[in-house]
Parts: sequence; structure tokens; C-alpha cells
Amino acid sequence: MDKYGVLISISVLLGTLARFYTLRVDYRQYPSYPHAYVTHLTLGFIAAALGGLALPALLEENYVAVTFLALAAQQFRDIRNIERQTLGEIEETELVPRGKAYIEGIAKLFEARNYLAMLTAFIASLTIHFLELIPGVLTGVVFILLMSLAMVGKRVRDIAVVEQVPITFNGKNIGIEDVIMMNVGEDEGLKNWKKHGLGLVIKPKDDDARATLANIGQRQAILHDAATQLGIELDVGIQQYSPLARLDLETGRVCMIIMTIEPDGEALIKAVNRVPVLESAKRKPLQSKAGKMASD
Amino acid sequence: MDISLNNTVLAIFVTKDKANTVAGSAPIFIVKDKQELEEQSMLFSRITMSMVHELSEGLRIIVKH
Repeated sequence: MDKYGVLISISVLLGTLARFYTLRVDYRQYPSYPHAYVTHLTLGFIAAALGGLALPALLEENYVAVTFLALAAQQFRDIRNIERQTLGEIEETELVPRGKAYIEGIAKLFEARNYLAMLTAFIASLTIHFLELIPGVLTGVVFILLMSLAMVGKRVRDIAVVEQVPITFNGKNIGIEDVIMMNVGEDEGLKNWKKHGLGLVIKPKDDDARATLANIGQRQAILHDAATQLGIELDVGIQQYSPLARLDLETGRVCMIIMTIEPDGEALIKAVNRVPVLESAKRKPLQSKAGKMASD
Repeated sequence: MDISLNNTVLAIFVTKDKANTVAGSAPIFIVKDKQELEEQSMLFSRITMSMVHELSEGLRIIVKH
């Protein structure tokens, strides 16, 4: 223990720090209630311990001990399941659901961040052992910063241009420009849409973005994030005020109508711009030969 | 478990003058005028947690999405 005491404790500490750092970054995106915070810190600590102990085990020629890394993979998969389950359960209580794709994205992220904690601890232990304590700590910190930078995904503003447009009213039909999106039968409903309704157009920058935005999960995520950030005028059983995001099939633009509590177009554009592009929605047709041929 | 009839016409509301333009298996409510049409269709949609659609003036259907 004396031999590896510093090595293990410092690398485990760095690994836990990695998890803590990514939790902090994550705070805005996913409302981390205090209990989840504790859970994830603890799991991050366990992950870091696994990473930090791997090298000493190898150095002691205790090769069997490395098999517990397999246990780690199992453990992290459970984290994904926990997140998926929790979010899936509370989905029913959301006025505007996150959608399965968004939940899957969040769950995957939480799993990946535990791998980050483990890797950080492992790399720190490597450098501490083969170099010195201080360079080891520095490498660990740099690794955390680099990896959390690398793990930042794209946002809607990177793949599309968001613009506010007025909602078009054509009798009882409402929509954007020539895209009819909803038929509101009630006079009262129509009046409210006229008063508070906001319209947006999300124009994809290229064919890749067009395919990504066409994904139903991606559009649901946009609606959910817009609704949570600006508040939404909606309640159970009043379907006519549901926000909608529909495709303009001709151009691939996403037309969106929403009734926010504060009808502030600027704020809405900002909220939509910041919506993450979901990993499961990402499409790259332009990188295939057929896709490239079809695009010109 | 909740069971509901989604994307089906739950009821039809029609003003008196158009009553002979509708028929079918969904309940048909014949109302006096436009005001009654608005009131009753709204009530019905709130009770069944669904939505009112207007096909033409004086003819509304209730659909749950």
C-alpha cells in the first residue's frame, strides 16, 4: 500500500474530479437534483477507483485483478439504464415530453462520462508512475479539459439558421407560410394563437443537417427544450395549444409553432439555437457516394 | 392502463341548417347556432381531452390526437 498510496489516491481523486467537472458543465442541460448529484459523484468515484487501481494491479503482476475492468463495463451500462429509466418514468409528467431519442442521448452521455472518470484516473496513474507526481497531476487535468471539450456535441445553431416568422392564419388553419400545421376549430383557441403564438423557421445549412432535422426525436427535443426554457401555455387535455414542429417537405425546413408564456421571439431563437444535436438523430448522407450524387 | 380512441372522430357537431350533410357512426350533435356550436364543441373536447377541428363553417369534428 505504501508503495502505491500516493499514486492510487491522487489518480482516484483526479478521476472523481473529472466526473465532478462534467457534472458542473452539465448542470444547465439536465436539471440535476441533489440526489442524482450524489449518486453520480459516487459512481464517478467508483469508476475512478477502477481506473486508478488497474496499473498497481498490473505492476504487482496480479493480472487476474484486471478482469474487474469487465465489471466496470457492466457497471457503467447500468448507469445508462438508471438514467433511461428515471427519465422514462418522469416522461409522463412532462407537458412536452423529451422524446425517446433525447432520453437515450442523455443516458449515453452519463455512461460516457463515467468512462472519462476511469480513463482520467488510469492516465494519471500511468504518468505519476513513469514520470513524477506533478507532471502526472497536470496530465490528468489537461486530459479532463481536453476530453470534456471533445465531448461537447454540436448544437442546432451549428447546423441550421433559426428565424422568427409570423404564423399564417388561413381561416381555421394555422401554419407557417404555405405549410398548414394545425386546424383549430375553437374560436377561443384561434384567438389565443393569434395573441401569444410564435412561429419559427429552422433552415438546415446543408443536406446532412436536413436529414438530421427531419428526425422526429430531434424535433421533439427542440420542442421540449424551447418549452422548458420559455415556459409553455399548455395543460393536460388541451391539445389545441400543443407546440408543433413540422417539415416543409419541399425545402427541408422545420416549421415550428409554439405558445410560450412570454411571447419573446428573441429568447425563443436563443433557446432553439442551444438545443443539442442528438447523437441518434445525426445523419451524414453527404459522406456516402449515393448521397453526394443525389445532392447535386 | 389508459385506453383511448386516438385519431378517430369522437363526435360531430353541426348547426341546424347543415344537419342533413352529415351521417355516420360517431355521435352527431345538432346545435342551434354558431354560439352553441362553440360552447358545446369546446365542452365536449375538454371533457374528452381532445381537440376541435372545423371542416367547414358550422361543421366541427372532435378528434383525440
